[in-house]
Amino acid sequence: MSDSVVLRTIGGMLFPYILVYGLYVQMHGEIGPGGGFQAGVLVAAAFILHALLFGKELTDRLLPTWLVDLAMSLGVLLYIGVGILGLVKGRYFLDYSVLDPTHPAHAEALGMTLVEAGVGLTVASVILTMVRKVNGESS
Amino acid sequence: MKPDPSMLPVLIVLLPLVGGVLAPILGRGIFGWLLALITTGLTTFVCASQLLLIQAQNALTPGFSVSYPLGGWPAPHGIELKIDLLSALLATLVSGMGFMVTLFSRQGVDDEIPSDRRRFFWSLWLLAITGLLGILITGDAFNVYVLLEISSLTIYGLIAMGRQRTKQALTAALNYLVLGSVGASFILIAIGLLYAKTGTLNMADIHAKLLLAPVDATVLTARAFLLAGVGLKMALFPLHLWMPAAYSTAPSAVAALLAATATKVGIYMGMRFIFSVFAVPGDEMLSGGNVLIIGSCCGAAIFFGSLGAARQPSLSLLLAYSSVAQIGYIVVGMTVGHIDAMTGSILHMVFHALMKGGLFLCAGILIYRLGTTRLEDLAGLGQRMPWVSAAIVVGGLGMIGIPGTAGFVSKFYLLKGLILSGHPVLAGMVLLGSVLAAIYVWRFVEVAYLRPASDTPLRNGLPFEKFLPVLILLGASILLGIQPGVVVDLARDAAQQLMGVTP
Repeated sequence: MSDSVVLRTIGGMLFPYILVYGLYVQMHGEIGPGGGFQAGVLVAAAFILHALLFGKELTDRLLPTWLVDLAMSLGVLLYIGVGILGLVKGRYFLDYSVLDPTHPAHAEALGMTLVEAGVGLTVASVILTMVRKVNGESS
Repeated sequence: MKPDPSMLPVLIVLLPLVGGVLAPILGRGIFGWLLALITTGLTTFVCASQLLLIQAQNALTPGFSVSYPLGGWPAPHGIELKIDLLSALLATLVSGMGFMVTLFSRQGVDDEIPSDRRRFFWSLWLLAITGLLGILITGDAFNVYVLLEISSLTIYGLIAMGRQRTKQALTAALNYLVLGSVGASFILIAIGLLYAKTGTLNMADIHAKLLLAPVDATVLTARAFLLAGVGLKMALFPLHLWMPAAYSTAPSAVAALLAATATKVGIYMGMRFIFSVFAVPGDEMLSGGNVLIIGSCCGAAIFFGSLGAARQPSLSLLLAYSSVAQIGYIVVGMTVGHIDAMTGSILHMVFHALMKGGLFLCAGILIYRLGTTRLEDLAGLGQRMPWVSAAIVVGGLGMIGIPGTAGFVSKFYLLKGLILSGHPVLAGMVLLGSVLAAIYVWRFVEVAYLRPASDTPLRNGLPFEKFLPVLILLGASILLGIQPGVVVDLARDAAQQLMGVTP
């Protein structure tokens, strides 16, 4: 936790922008450089900055541990879920074409976006958990 | 893109993966164990059905294997799952052992893992099984590496969770992490070199391209890196140093799972790469000098592993060193390139998993009731815990290879293959290993039956659900020792398919 007014003010102002930038990288990943891994790290970095500036108690209130734990699993489940949808529709695992049978390119884009969203969710929450553990939170 | 009627191949990895991801959410209290039990049970069912399907097909068209393109991308550009007899046999073994050990470990895990960690324990548990099964069924070389990392990283975590019982678990896990990562990097380098050479990652495709090109320095280097990496992963002497500490300090359920499955999967990787990827007629990987080197490693493993086992102060360590020796048997069979030796090798993988799994479960019962497996605390065990010590003796007889136990059948095929292929010295080592095994098994018998009972207090009763898996595993090893026909046929077909020999 930092006592510097400058750091806290600037950091507080940056916090939402880092999140938005993370979201941009996330959504952009399907057509250009970016994607779930990078976006996940950015989102996690926003919360790490928050914890450094305002103390981890406040961050924990903003983003409770149980939510992070849940997000870890939900991200992977989203990924697997897209795959299982293919199985359920009688296609191969992770066959995107079931998402929009009429338009393969749209199906591909939608599938990748969903999968990347899963990756982003898991990466962000795993990195947050790692930082929390290194910070010496007893469990 | 024709839809595939069979989704069995992908279910083999998908089921434990979903279970592993659900465990942190749903796995509080008893539910984690239930989830793991149901997941491993279903996976075993799927693996067994896949095995039966492939066996039936194999009778019609020898050399049959199932291919499943993930995402519908056809091989060699997409990632394919490729299951032949050997993969299906070992997948059934791994998932079946996973089920048995899960059944065993409810109270053990309650004892040894703090309650807020249990849901993560079950998550790691299922993900480790996912990784091991994935290695067995994938047909993509890079996928092997990724799944190897999944299984290894989860296993490091599982071993470290033994720290509740003994702090040394942390050191053991760190040791294994360092050595295991070195091994995995070697395997990655080998795969990278192969990719540089052939421009493809699909194993069958790599093999096809290697057949066309002469064996040059790149391929030789890849072979060397692969052998060293796989050797570390399967704990082949002298690369076994991580294993005894890891097995003896891990939570008892984890030790049983690892001893029964993890090293077997390492050996499978070796077999797969040597016989399905690197096998170039006229320039076999296992010829001349290589056989000499690996053969002596195996001989040394059998000799020093058994001797080491005879000197250990605790049953867990004794069993771990005995595993070093048993891995020697398995690898020696695959090294000489004779069909009978290979059959023996595959048989020994299966039988050793049953016996050693059962023995480590017995050690788990000892930890549960006595809190220790130190041999001096086991004095008079024959009177105090007659069933468990009888089970340990039965497993031990299997380790020696007494006729009537499964260990005899696999050693018989090993010896036959070694002698027919002209390796009497190695055959002698296998026989010597049996004598040495008798020594370390006798140590337990002497302590348990010929000494006055020690006064270490007994906790808890003998829960039936703990003894049931022991009964099933060791019972199976006896049953298969008397009636080995079915498994021997399977193993021989698998060996023929692997070595590309037509019957």
